[in-house]
Amino acid sequence: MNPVRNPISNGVKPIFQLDAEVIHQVKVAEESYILSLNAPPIARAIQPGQFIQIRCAPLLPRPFSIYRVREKRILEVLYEVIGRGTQRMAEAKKGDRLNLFGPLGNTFSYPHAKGISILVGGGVGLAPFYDLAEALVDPKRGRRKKEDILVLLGARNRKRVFCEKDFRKLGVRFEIATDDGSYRFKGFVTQLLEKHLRTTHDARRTTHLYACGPNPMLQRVSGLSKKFRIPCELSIDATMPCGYGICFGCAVKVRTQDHFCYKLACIDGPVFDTKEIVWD
Amino acid sequence: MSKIDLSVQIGSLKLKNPVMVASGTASYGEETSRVFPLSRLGAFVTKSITLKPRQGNPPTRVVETPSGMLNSIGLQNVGAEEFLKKKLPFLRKEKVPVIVNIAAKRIEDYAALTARIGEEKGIAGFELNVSCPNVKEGGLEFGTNPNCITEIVRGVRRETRLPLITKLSPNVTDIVTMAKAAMEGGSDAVSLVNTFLAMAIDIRKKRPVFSTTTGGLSGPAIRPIALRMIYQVYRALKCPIVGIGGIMNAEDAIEMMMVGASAIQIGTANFVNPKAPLEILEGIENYVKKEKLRHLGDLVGVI
Repeated sequence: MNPVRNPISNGVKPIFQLDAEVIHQVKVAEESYILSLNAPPIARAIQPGQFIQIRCAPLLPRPFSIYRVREKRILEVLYEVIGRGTQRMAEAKKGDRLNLFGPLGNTFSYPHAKGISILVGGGVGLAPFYDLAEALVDPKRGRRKKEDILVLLGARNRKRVFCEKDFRKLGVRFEIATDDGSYRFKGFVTQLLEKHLRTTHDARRTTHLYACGPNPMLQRVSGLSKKFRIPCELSIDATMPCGYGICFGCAVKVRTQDHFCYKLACIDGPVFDTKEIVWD
Repeated sequence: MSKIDLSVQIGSLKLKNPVMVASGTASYGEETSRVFPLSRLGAFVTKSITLKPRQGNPPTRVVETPSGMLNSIGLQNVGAEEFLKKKLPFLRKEKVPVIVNIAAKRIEDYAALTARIGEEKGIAGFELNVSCPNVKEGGLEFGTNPNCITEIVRGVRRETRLPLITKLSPNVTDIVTMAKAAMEGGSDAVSLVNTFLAMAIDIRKKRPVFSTTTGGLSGPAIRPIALRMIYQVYRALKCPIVGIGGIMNAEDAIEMMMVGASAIQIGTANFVNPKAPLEILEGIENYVKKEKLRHLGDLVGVI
């Protein structure tokens, strides 16, 4: 099926739906893969922080961050096998086709800040941060120095560490924490972050945080951002049946002036300012 | 576009084709219009509107089940005034008949809502949600009591001349009684069916997945039951029916029309395949061509 460009309606950006060909699939760590899909219209339009829906599960599609965009036509998806849908994805071979829908959601901001930005990824929560790091150091986009971008990966153990080479090649700083200490820093990635904010040369120079990962980790990062008074953007994962704001399934509790309300992770997010989020 | 006549009549409402999006599965149209022009639809049914805004239920709100999904959204919506101010103007421009779905927790609120919304231009009809399983008051209670249904429809009927479709709950012993109650109240048609009351457990947390304990089951899993209910109502009452329940493709839609649905609504399929309504419409068109039917309406209730 040829990708069909949808009509632009009311100045709102179109969402593309297409059957994308699998170009390549590589296992990057235990239970973790990078899938390369040929999807030019989405690849041209997608921005750091946005996501796509992949129809991989028995019924409802599942949301995935974009790890990297190549040659303005290939989307790389970094994912972990956790259920039937991702198991099916892991079995996909070169030449197979997967139905995609996107780009979806909002984007990370890249303030032209001086100082250091720290990008914190818990497990496959690292997924959106290659694309973001690349944008941040791009002379036309983020215009940031490579040494001012620090990416932290938290992994269960050394078998779950991935993408180190990619980030090193990009030239940004990259550090790893493993829960069991089997590789590099021993402890949670939030402890590694705290170390940076407290004791290192980065402490007073950090001006922006980004985080993506399991909710307890995000909550901890959120707490640190408050404590150290550093602006922080979180990419929230939620059960997302539709991905484009029609089902109201992916509610995220946010503060309002007088109380709280539910925003939708798929269209109001997935990126939220940490100050907005109400943690229950 | 071909010249095949796909138009259908639902009581006093004439639509150019039988395909609508089901309430709560296309919000207020802006998102769906990023995927295809709404003008391709027979009609657009809005997410349920209540008098006052509702913030909806806390997450978790959705869980996938075999061939279906459970939801407990809790009628999150912007309320009538905001709908008229911010949402309806967009839909008006889209050149699609707009059916406003309304829900309320008190019987008299249905009439109040109809009166307020019916004042505005650009509305083709109302669908009365008397069957939401996920709100504490009203909702399902109304939908399982035929006297309540008649009273609600009668109250609304006094306020408007626009076509009324009453959306019924399948969580009843005898669906025909409920349909009859709606028609006696002055409804032009019934839409069959809303979601099935169902449940899921989080075995790790040892509690129900939803804060509301139960949720509503939709998707292909419910389609054969919806089909049976439409068949029963059509056989008994011969009233106009809008078929809803797990339609994923044109074959499913045609099945529903054959047992008595004059038109159909696409719900869960919109989440799986955003272009489903268009593909279903094209499939119906192909079927009509292949079967050399003069008029799509000839299929309705042939079984």
